[in-house]
Amino acid sequence: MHGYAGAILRVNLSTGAVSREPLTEDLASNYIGGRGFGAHFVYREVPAGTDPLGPGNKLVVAAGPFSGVFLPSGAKTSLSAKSPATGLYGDSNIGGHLAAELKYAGYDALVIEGKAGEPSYLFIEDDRVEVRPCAKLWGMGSIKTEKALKDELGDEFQIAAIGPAGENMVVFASVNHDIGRQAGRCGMGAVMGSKNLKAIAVRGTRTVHVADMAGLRKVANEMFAVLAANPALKVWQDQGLAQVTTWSNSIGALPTRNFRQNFYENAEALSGERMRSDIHVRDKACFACPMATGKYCRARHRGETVYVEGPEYETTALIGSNCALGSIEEVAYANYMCDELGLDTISGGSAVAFTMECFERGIITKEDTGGIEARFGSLDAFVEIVKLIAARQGIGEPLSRGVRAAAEAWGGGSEDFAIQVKGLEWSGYESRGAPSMMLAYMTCDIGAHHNRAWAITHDIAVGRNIIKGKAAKVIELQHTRPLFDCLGVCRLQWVELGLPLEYYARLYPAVTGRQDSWDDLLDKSERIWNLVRAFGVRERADFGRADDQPPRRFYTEPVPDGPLAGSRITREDLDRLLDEYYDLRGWDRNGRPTAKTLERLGLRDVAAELQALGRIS
Amino acid sequence: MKLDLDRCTGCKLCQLVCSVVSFGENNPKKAGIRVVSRLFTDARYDVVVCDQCGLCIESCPVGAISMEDGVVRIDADTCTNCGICVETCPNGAMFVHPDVDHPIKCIACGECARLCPRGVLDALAGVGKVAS
Amino acid sequence: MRVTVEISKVLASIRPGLAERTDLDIPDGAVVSDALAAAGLEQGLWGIVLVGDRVAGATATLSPGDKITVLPPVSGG
Repeated sequence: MHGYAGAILRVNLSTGAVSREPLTEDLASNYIGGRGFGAHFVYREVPAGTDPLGPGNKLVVAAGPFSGVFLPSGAKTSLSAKSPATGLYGDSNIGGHLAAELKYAGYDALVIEGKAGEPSYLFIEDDRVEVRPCAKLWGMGSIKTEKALKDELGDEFQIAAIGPAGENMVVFASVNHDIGRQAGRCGMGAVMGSKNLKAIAVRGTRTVHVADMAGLRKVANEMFAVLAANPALKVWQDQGLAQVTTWSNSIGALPTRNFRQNFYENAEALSGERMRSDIHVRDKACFACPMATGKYCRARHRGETVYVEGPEYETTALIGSNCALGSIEEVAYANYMCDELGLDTISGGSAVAFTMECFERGIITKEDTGGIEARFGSLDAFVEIVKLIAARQGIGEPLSRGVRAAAEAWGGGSEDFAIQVKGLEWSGYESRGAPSMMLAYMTCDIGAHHNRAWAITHDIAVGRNIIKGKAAKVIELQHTRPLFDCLGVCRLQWVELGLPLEYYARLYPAVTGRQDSWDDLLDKSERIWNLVRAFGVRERADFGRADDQPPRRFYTEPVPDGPLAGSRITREDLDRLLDEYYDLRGWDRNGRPTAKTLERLGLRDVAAELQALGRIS
Repeated sequence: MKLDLDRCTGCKLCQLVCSVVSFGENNPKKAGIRVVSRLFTDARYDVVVCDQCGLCIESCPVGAISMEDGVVRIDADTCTNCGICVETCPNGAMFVHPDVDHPIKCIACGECARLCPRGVLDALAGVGKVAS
Repeated sequence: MRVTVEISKVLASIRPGLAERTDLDIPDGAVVSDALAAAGLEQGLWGIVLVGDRVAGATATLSPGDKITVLPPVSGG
C-alpha cells in the first residue's frame, strides 16, 4: 500500500506471541495513521473498565503515511493507550527518528499487549522480532538505557525507553527517545512499565514506496526550498521553541508560581537568548527537518555537569517560571533530572509547583516532605521532589498519581489550584485572558494539553474579552493540528514557519495515491476526535460536561499582576463557551456526541454501542 | 575535502535524498552517505562519505571501480559484490544493503549538499562540479 | 519615510483582512512597533520580526525603504 509499510506488528508480552497483520485499506483510508490508528485500536480493543496499568491495556506505537518519506520532517510517532492519568484514551507523540525507522523495518504500527514475565525490551530488525530479557537495564535512567542499547546494538537502532518513573508506574511517566525527545503526556511510560517493557529498539532496511515519486519529489523540493528561503528559519535554528518564553510572558500567558500568575518578573533569565548564550552546545534535528529545534545543552549543578536536550518552551514554562527557578541553567538541570527519571516535564513541573504552593500555604509541612523546604525558587527542592515522585516515596506517592489525586490526598482546598483537566496537568499557557485557549484546554480530548488547538493569537486578534464565536476556531484547530499527528509529520513547518497547508494537501495523493482533498482529511480527523470522545462516554456513565472543567482558580481568582492584572473569566463565561462548543460539534449539552453526529461521521456501530448502553440519545 | 561537521544537526536528510536520487526510493539505508551520532561521547554528529581518494580502485579484483573526472564509480554490471573494497575503504564509506548487488557509494551528484539545511556538505557539491 | 511590511500567510489567516504586503508612510525616526501598529498588528500578534534579513526588536529604528517581515508568534508546537 503506497505510503505505508503495509503491516501492523502485534506483540503479546504475556505469551511472547508475535504476529504480522496486513494493514487494511479500510483502516488506512479511514484513520490515516499515527494517532488515528491509536484511537482505532484503543477504542476497538480496550474495553470499558480495563485497568490502564494492567495487562489488558494496549500500547499502540504508530507512524503515519508521511513518516520516513522524502518531505520535511516525516518524523512523528504517536503512542496511544488508555491513560493511567485520566482513565480515558490518551496519546502522546515523539519526534526524532523512531517513526521513520519503524516504517523502514516494515511496520506502520506496533500493538503491544499483555505483560512480560520479567523486565524486557522489544527488539525489532526488519522481520526479526524478539522480546529480550533485560534485567540489567531495569532501574537505569532512560537516557543511560538508550546509550546502553545503542552501545550494544549500534547507532542505527532507534530506541524508545522508560526510566525508573515508568517502571514504578508514575502516571505521568514519559517515553524517551533520541536522548531528549519525549512522548511525555498521558503516562505512556507508565503503561510500558506496567508491561515490564523497558524499551523498544528498531532498525529497518526496507523502502517506503509511494504512489508518485516524481510528484512527491516536486512538492517536497518546493517545500524544502520555501523553508530554506524563509529568513525566520535561522531564528528557529538558533533558539527553537525556547524563543516563545519572552513572547508568552509579554502577553500574560506564562504560567508562574503554579499558575497563580501569568507573568514572571524574572523571565529574561529563562529566555531563548539566554539558553543560546549560556548553556547551548549543539543544534539537534528530528528526521529530515531543516528547523532543528532540538537544543543540546550543558548544565552544571553542585559540581555535576550534565547534558540534556532542551529546555524548550513547555519545560521552561512548567519547570522554570511555574516553580520560579532562577536561571535557564537551573531549568536545564531540572529538565535533565526529569528526562533521566522518565517524567513528563509538563506534569512533573506542575506537580512540583503544586507541592510548593501547598507547602507555602501550610497544607503540607516539612514533616510531610521529609524535611524538604519545598519553596518556590528552590532547584534543590525540585530535584528532591521529583526523585520522590519517581520512587513513589513519601509525598511522591500521592504526587505520582497526578495533582488531582494529590489534592484529594492533601485537602485543604488544594483542589482549587491543582491545575489539570480530566486528570492531566495543564501545559504552558495560562489562559484567564484567552477564552478560546481556555476552551481549547477544557475540551482537549486527552486532558489539559495545548497541542490540539493553540488559539491564543485568535483571542488577541478578535478580542481577549470576547466569548461568543470562539468555539468555531477551537474546533477548526482541533481537526487541523491533530491531522499532522495522523500523517506522522511534524506541524512546526506549517504553524511556525508558515509553510502553507496546500503543500501537505498535495503531498497526500503523491504519497498514498488516494485522492482525498484536505477537507476530506479534516472530516477523518473529526471522526477520530469523536471516536476518542466516545471512548470516554463508553468508559464512564457520568462522563461528560463535568470532565471539561478547568480548576476553580481560573474562574475565581483574577490575575494578580503583569500585563493582564485584574482580568478574569467567569463561571458563566465558561458555560457559554462550552454550550457553543457542544452545539457546533453536534454533541448534547452534557458534552456527549449524539447518535446522529456519530452516524454522520461514519461511526454507526459506535453510536449503536453507546445507545445500547443508554449513554447517548 | 572538508565537511563542516560542526554544523550537522543529525537530521539525515542527506541519507534520505541520496536514496531518492540513486534508487528512486525512500530508504536511507540505500545511500552513499551516513550520519552517525556522537552525541553521547562528543556532543556532535559525524558524516561518513567517500572523499574520492581512489584506494578502492586497486583493491577491486575484477576492475569494476574506476575514476572518472575526479569521481570514483563502481560499474554495477562488472561488480561481483565481493566486499573487498568495502573493507579497503579507509573511511568506511562503501555501504552494503541486502537488496542491492553492489556496494553503494557517493558519486558526488551534489543533491544532498543542495538540500542540507546547514551547508555541512558544501565540499561535496564542489566535487560534483568537477565531475560535471 | 516609506517602509514595507510583509506578513506570513499564517498571520494573515489569524487576522483576516490584513494584506500580506503593505507599503506604509511613517514618520522619520519611527521604530518597528510603530510600523507594525500602523499595519494593524498590535503586540502579541507578532513573533519574530526581521528588518531586511536581520532579526530586529520592537524598538529597532527604521530607515527609508526597509522591508519588515513579520512572523506569527510561536504556536507551541
